[in-house]
Amino acid sequence: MTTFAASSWNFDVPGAPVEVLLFALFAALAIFGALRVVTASDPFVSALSLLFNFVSLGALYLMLGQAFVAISQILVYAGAVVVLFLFVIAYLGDRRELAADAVRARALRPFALLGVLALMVTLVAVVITADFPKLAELHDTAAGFGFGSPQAIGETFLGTYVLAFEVTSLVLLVAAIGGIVLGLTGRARHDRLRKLMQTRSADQQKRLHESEERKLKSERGVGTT
Amino acid sequence: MELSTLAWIAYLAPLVGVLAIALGGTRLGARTAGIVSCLAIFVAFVASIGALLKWESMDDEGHGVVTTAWTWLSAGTFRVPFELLVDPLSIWMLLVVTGVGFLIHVYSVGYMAGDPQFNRFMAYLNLFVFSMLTLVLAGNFVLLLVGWGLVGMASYLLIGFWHDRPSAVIAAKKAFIVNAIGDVTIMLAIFLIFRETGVLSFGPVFEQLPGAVSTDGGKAFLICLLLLGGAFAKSAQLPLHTWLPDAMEGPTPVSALIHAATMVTAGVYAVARLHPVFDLSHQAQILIFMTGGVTLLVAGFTALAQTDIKRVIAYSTMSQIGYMFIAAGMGAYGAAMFHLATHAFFKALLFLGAGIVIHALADEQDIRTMGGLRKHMPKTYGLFLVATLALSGVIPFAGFFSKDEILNFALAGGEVYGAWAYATYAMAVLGAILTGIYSFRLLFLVFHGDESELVQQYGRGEVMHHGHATNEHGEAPRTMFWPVAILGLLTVVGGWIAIPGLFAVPHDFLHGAEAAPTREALEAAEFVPAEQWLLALTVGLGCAVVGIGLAWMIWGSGAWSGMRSRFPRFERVFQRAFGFDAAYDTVFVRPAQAIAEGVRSTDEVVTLPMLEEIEIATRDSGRGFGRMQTGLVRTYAFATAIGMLAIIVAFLWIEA
Amino acid sequence: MSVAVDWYVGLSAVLFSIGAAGVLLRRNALVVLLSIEIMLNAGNLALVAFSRTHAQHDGQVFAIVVMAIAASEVVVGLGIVVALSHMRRELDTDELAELHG
Repeated sequence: MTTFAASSWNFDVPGAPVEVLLFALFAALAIFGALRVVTASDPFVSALSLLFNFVSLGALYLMLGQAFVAISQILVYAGAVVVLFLFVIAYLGDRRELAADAVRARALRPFALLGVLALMVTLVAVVITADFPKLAELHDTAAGFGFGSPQAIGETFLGTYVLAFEVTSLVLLVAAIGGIVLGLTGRARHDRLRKLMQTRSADQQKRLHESEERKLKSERGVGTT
Repeated sequence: MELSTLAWIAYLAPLVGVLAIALGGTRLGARTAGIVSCLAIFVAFVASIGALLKWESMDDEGHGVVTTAWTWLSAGTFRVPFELLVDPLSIWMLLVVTGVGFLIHVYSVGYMAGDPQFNRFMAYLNLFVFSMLTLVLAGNFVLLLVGWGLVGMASYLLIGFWHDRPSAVIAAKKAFIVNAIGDVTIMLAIFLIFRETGVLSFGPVFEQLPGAVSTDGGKAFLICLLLLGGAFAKSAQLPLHTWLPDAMEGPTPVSALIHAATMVTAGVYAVARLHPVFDLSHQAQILIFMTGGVTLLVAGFTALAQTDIKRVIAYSTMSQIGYMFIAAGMGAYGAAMFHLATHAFFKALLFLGAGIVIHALADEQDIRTMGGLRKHMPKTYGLFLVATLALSGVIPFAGFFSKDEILNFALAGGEVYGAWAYATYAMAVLGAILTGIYSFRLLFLVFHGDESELVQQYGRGEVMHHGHATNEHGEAPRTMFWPVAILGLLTVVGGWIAIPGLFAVPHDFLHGAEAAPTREALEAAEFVPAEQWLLALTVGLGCAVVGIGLAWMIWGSGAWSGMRSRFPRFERVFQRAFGFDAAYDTVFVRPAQAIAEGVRSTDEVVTLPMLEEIEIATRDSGRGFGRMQTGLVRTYAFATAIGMLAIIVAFLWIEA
Repeated sequence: MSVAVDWYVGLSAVLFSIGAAGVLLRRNALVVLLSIEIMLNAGNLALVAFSRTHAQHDGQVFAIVVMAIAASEVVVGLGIVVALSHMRRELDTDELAELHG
């Protein structure tokens, strides 16, 4: 269907073998971690393997000259996400998957495997055929900040993409509230939700209190007569 | 104040009244609602008088002032502004509508007192006045049509005001449907006018239409005919008159305001307003006055045999509008508008007087149960007598001057229109005799003769209404009596603004309101007004006297009372109003019902099973698609992955 | 400057496919969430690589946004898993099929 143009395939090894070796190392680590995540039967192992993947990606970001993203990657993913996963796995205890023949979508397995393989082949084919530009020379920003520095990213983030920044922070807020709501259970859930939703002024609380007292009194009155 | 400002105040005041009462809802007491609605019309009336004075003080001999609020519709070069046209004709109508309207509003406060839906009634009345003012102030055809439709709607709402009475609902529907026929023909006429001229404002149309269509040509006649469809439907002329007698199902003030004084005369106003269009077609003019003549005879004969007090007056209204159409058709627009105004006075008076009688007898409307009321209601009798004399055309009451002027023009019109005009003159004279007979028949049957059982009960204070004896406040409450008294005064003096040979205020005011051919013919014949007036007046007065005399012999003194049942065959025809309703029932209503029945059965046989099939197919296919929703996340993810894969492959394909 | 951008993007493609395999083949809700994280990271890697290629910061900004959204997703996702665990014993995605048609 399509003839792959092999000419676009840049692979200039001779210049700096150290970089190539580092790339090969971290790429291999990342793939290894990812494969372990998918294949490990114990979720605990999966979560720990993900750490490999995250850290090696962080290293790759550094090699691309992007210090801030690399540090965010380590902090957010390795520091927060993986730890959160480990907490939850520890909390839930040992919950293995059901046996493969006991599940509903048994027939899916071969098709899924085939589909994933096709996806990988296609994506790699796209990368191979695509004509990517050479790496551009790095310049300091107008304000004199280096490429990938927090200042330079801050300039872009709070300038051009300030709306995305605001929306993202809103999503984080909603997620935080959602996490709390989902985490509540039973009686606690009911009470806490009520408290969250019924934030009253002192005046309102007073009136509520009075009406409840009245109700109690009238109930007692009914009881005695 | 500017003339245009006064016109806008007069136009919008009733709308303010509607909104105030409608939005006030139940928070507004009946008393407040009554005051608000009367005040709204009073403001409009005062502004109308202001407009009259302003116009008189302007020495501008122009064709009126056009005042535009905003551009209403706009498409390419097509523009319809929301514009009012203020000229003598619209000021004349403003005065009649708001003046008579105000008196009837005050009367309604008394008449409708105690009705649980009082506020709604007053809001509808205000809405009607607003609609009528839209009609008479419209500065272009579109706004005229809007006013035309609005008065039809207001009339529908008011006829069917007592919507728990099936007969009222049917009558309201009938009035609306017949009027809708007229609305449609007017709309078609507007389309034609727009196609010929490309404009819709009155001024430009009147300028360009004579150049666009040939005089006395087919196109001119078609436009006039379609416009007349609307005018005849609204003014209850043959053959679109059948709704008016039924419209008497509405409360009596409604009959007085809408179905006597204002809305039903809109057709006459339209002919006068659009006279440059009708001047283009001789045949259309002949059609107008012939229709008027035939209608006045048919209505006059019908009125002779009716037994419902309001129906008699309704047929009389049809007949009097026939006179107005005769004048308008002859090109004597001033005479038509003059009769329109005097008719508004004495016919409103007649209706309101009838309303007092109906009120006193606790909603009894059959004149066969009445008789001898004169002793118990002397004031009402006096006012009713004044109105009846004016209606018959007895000097010096208003109807005398206006009707005999029309007779005069009908005679003079022979110079222009030949035999048609003479035939119409003959019909008008016969109609004048008939008017004397039927109007005094009503008077004699209700107020003279022996006291009937019902009237005796009334005298003893035994007729009860809303839990009160109806004679506990004398003949009528004050709010009902005084408007009637003022109308009585107007009926006496209203005609004196045009004394033949001395002065003619309507003609001078409605400057240039005669059609060119009529005016030229009258001048060419070296027509001496005073002499011919004298002849016409004598004939008119003679007819009235003959008619009254006949009525007196048959129903008054009882000398010829045998005549009452001498002609049973004619009586049957008159009672059935020449069978128009029965004919329409056979020709239109029954076939329509049959078609509706056919559609319904087709519905059952064809449409419903088809819908059932569609329903089954939808349900089954829904079930099929529902099976795709496995609820398993992985199958969804798989579908997503395959879809993404397909998109990537498609992109590669396009690239290659 | 020796490793061309092709390699980074290629690695990204491979990681993405592995993540997709995890989502499609694993039934443990937790592992599915982990696999989704891999896919997001693969996307991030491509973004960052292209950002470097053009010497522009836009790609990095998007990468950071993706991290924030991923963190949110993990919070909500784990919240749902925990809430589910209170109701039933197994966390197999094939058992969570109440929304079938």
